[in-house]
Amino acid sequence: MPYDPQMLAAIQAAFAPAITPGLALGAASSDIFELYVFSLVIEAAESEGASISFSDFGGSLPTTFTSRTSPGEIWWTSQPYTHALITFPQKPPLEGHLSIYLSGKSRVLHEADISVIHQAEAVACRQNSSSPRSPKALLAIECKHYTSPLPLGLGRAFIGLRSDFSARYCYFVANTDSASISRLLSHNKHEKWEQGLVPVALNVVERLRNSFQDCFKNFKARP
Amino acid sequence: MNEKECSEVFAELMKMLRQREFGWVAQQVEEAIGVRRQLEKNSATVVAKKSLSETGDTESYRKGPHAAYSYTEPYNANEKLGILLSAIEHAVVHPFQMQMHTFSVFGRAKTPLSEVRFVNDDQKAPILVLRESEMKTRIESIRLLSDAISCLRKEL
Repeated sequence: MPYDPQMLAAIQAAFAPAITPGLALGAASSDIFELYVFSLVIEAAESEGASISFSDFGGSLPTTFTSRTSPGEIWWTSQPYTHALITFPQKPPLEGHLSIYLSGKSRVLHEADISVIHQAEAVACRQNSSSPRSPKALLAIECKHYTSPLPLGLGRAFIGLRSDFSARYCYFVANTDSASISRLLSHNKHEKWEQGLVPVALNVVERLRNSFQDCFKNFKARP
Repeated sequence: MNEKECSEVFAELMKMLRQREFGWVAQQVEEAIGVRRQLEKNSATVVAKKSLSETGDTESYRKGPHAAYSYTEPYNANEKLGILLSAIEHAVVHPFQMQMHTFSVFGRAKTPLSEVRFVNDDQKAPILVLRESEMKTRIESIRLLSDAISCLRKEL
């Protein structure tokens, strides 16, 4: 079948009306991706029986979710940043955060795009103006949003980050694929990673959510 | 589509992205294409003969057993267009679907949320505001774009 120029015209015509206002900023799509992965973490906790609510620094119940565009300290109050309260019956409460610093084994601070930490640690850090310690994190996720195949350097950087984080469940999650990164991360059986994460990739979404669920299942089982 | 048609469409879509302030997408596509595709092939190794002299004369090597070697090769015009179409989906279509999913999860919480503000610590005005109510107006546009991309991809 010969190529029909109308196909190009159809994409050109549909492009502008489809754009989310503000999405022309490259960073915005990364922020949306992080929020999406965050929503999968919340769903996984719900599936394990958690009740979910949202809060800001002062404990107020927000009507708007306020998210960071760049990493920051958990104790910063210049904006009413929102975090999720994740509560399982008979278990210490947890908090889910976006883009906060966690302190690694070396005590170097690293950005965790998504983290789930014990609320006791979060409260202590807000009171002491300090960063949560990575052993107190149940879950830490590095998110990468690219529109084309991922550069290999991102996989290498994650391996470095992972070696300094004590969180048991530490993930590399990306929306696109890279055969090189897959090979690099699969070489170490302890690495947790998922690529090609987009809402229409149901198998990938399900596998990642189940893995998050596994993390919460083990949290509930521990004495 | 032949190679010439693929190259022409590729150029037009790259132009569209730059005109619509999506130059960052065009840049990521260019970078990915520049890195080339990594492949593997089985090739013969060479082994040194026992009589290898101290000067390291190449004639002192012989063919050894085959082993897996990695190498790169450039993408063809057809593959380049495929990468670009995927990039447009990743930049526009998938983020919309991600927002829809996020709002559905946030809406189930004890304190439902229907708006997200992305803010910078040192700026008062939000950089981006997403409202669940505004998303419904773009569902049809997203479907049209997604369908148009799928149609073109079938021709590759």
